[in-house]
Amino acid sequence: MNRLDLTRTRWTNFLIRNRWPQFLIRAITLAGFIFTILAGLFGSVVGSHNFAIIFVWIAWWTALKLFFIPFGGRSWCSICPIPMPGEWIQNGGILQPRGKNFGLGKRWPKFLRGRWLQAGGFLMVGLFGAVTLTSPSVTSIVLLFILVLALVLSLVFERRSFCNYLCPIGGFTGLYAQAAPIEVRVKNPEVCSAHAQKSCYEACPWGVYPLAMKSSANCGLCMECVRVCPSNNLAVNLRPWGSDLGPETKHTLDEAFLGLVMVSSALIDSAIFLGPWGQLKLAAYAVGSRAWFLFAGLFLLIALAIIPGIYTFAVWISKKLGNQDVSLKKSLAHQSQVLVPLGLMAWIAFTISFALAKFSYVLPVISDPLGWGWNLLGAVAKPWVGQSTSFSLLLQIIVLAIGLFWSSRVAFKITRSRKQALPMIAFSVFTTIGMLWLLIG
Amino acid sequence: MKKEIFARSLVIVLIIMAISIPIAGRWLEQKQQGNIIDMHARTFENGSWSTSTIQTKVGEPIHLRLTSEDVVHGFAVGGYNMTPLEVLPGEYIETTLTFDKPGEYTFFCNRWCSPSHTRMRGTIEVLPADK
Amino acid sequence: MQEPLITYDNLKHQSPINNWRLIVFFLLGALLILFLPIPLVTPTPTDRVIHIDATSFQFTPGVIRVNPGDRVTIELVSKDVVHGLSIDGYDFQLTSDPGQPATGTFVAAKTGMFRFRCSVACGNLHPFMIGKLQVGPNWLLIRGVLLGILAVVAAGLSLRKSAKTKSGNIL
Repeated sequence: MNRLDLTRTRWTNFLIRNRWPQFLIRAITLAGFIFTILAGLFGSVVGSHNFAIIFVWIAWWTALKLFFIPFGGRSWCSICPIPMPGEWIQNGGILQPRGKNFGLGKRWPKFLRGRWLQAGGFLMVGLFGAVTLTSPSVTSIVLLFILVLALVLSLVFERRSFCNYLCPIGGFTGLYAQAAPIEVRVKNPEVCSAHAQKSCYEACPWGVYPLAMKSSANCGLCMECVRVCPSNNLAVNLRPWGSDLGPETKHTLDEAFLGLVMVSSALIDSAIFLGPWGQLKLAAYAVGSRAWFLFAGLFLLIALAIIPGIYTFAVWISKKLGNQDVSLKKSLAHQSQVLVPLGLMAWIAFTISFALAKFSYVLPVISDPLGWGWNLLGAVAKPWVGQSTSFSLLLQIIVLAIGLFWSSRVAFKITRSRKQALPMIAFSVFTTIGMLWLLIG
Repeated sequence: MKKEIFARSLVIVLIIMAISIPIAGRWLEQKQQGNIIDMHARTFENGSWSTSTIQTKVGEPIHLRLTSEDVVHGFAVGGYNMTPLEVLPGEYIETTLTFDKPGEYTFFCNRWCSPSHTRMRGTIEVLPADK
Repeated sequence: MQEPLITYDNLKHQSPINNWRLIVFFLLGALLILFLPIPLVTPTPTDRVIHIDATSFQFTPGVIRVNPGDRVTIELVSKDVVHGLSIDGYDFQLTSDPGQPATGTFVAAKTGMFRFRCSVACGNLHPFMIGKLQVGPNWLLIRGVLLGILAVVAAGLSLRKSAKTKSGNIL
C-alpha cells in the first residue's frame, strides 16, 4: 500500500491529535491577520513598504502556491485564521470539539452549493487584482470584509459555510488538493459500520462524512474527526501525488468551471503582471473607467467563453472518438481532472516568476512593517528592483513541463483509448505553450 | 476549564500585541520626535505637500522628516543655500533648516513629478528673532 | 456481456529494469533538451543605440531585440515622472528625470530573454513596469516547447496498454 499513516508515528500523531500545536499556530495567524489589516489601513501607502502588500501577495501567496498546496493540499485551511472567530463562537469555546451549535445553524441553500461562487470570487479577484495588489488599503478592506463575512455566516449557517462555498482561496486549494500528497481517510470501514453515532461527521466543520470521502477536495485537514473518533479509526496519510484523479472518480460541472477559471486566470494574470504591455496594466488598474470596462470585457470573454469553448470543443472531439453513450455534460465534468495538474503547475510557474523575484522585499518589510521608517531587525535595505534570474526561468520551464506530463498522464488514465486522450492533451499543450510564451517568451 | 481560559487569554493577548504595534509605534515616535515635522510629498494632483505652511523664527531650526507617497520628488527651498534633497517613496530623509534672515521662503519640488509639478510648493514664514 | 477493454496499467506493474531504463532515458532527454549548447553561427556583434521612452507604466519600445555580443547603448528618456531601467541578469541601471536622457552601455554577452524593469519607484504599478530584452533567438522558449513534447511522450509511455476484462462503466 502506498500510504504512510502519520498517526502511527508518535510525534506526528501528537502534533495532529493534541489541540495545542494547531491552536497556537491559528492564534498566531489570527493576530498576524489583524496586524496585516491594520498595517494596510494605517501604514504607508507605498505598497513595497507595507507589510500588508508584501506579506499577503508575496510571502503568503508564494508559501501557498509553492508549499502549502503542492505538498499539503488544503493544509493552509488547517491553520487559516479567517473562520476561527466564528468557529470558536459556534463551538462555545476554543478547545471544544463541535457540539451544540451556537447560532442559527441554517443549512446552506442548495442552489448556492458547489464551486460556482468560489470560481466567481476568483474571477472578481482577477478583475480587481491590479488595484488590490498595489493598494495597501484596498487589500486591508478585502481582508477585513472576508473576516467579518466569515464571522456573520458562521452565526447564521452551520459549520464553515464561508470556507466551503465562498472563499476563493478555498475553491482552488480544494480543487488542487485532489492532486496533493496528503489525505485523511478511514482506516477500517468495518469499524465504522458498527458505530451508530457518526461522531466524526458531527465534529467535522466542513460537513464531510469521512467514511464516504473519496476525494480530499472538501477536507480542510482540521483533524477534528481524527481527535473525536472513539475507535481511533482515522488515518492521516501521506500518499502519491494525483491520488484523487482517475477513471473511476466522480466530478461535477462546477469543478470543470473552476478548473477552467484557474487556467484562464493564470494566462491572463501572466499577461497583465509579467508582460511588457503597459496599456493593459493601466486598463486593469483604472477601475471604473472605459478602458477598465474594455479590459473586464476581454477578461470575461477569455475566462467565460474562449477557454471554456476550446475545452468544450476538445471534450466533444474526445467523445466523438470514443463511445457516444455518455452525455457531453458528464464528459465535461469527468475530463476536468486534466485541468487540475495543468492549472496547479501553471500557477506555480506564475508564482515563481511573479513573487519569488520580489522575495527580497520580505525581510525589510518585517523590519519596517508600516513603512514609517522603522528598522526593528536592522534588515532595512535600500529597496532593489528584484529580478528573475536565469535559474528562475529554467525552473518555470521545468514546472510547466511537469504540468504537461502530469495532465497528459491523467488524460491517458481517464479515457478509454489513446485517441480519446489526444484532444485533451492538445488543450493542455495549447495552454502550456501560452504560459511558456507569456512567462519566458 | 483552566485550559480554555488560558487559550482564550492567549488569543486576546496576541491580538492586543498585534493592535498595539502600530499604536505604540506612533506614540513612541511622537515622544521622540518632538518637534520634527513629518512632511509627506505628493504630486499636486494627489494633495501636494502634507504641510503647506511652516512657521519659525530666525535662528530657530526646523526639523523635517520627508517621504514621498507616490513618485520621486525633490525638496528645495528658494533663497536658501542647500542641496536639493531626493524624496523617495517609502524612504525617509531628514534635514534641518535654520534661517538667519526673516521673510517668506518658498519650498518646492525640484524633480518633475506630474503635469502640475510647478504648482507643488509651500511656504516657510520666518519671523524676526525675539528681542 | 463483458468486453475486453483497453485499460492502462501503471508503470510499476512492468518489469523493474524496463522502468528504470525508461526513466533514465527521459531524464537524459530532458537534460539534453535543457542544457545542450547549440553552436549556431551568430551574426557579428555590432554596436547599437536604442532609444527608450519611459512613461507610467510602459517602456516604448517594450521589446528590444539584439544579437549576442552586441554593444548596446540605451538612451532612456522619461516622459512624465522619474523612471529608471534595470535589466534582469545584467549589471545595468539608468535613471532618467522627465525630459532628461540618461545613457548607458553594456555588452549583451548573455543570450536569452531578460526582463528589464523600472528601477525608480514611479507610482502604484511601478513593480509591474516591465519590458523584455531578447538577446539572440529565444532558445529557452524552444527548449521549453521541446521539453513539453518530451513530457507528453513520456506520459504516454509511462502508461502501457494491456487488455483486461472489466465490468461496469468507465467514461
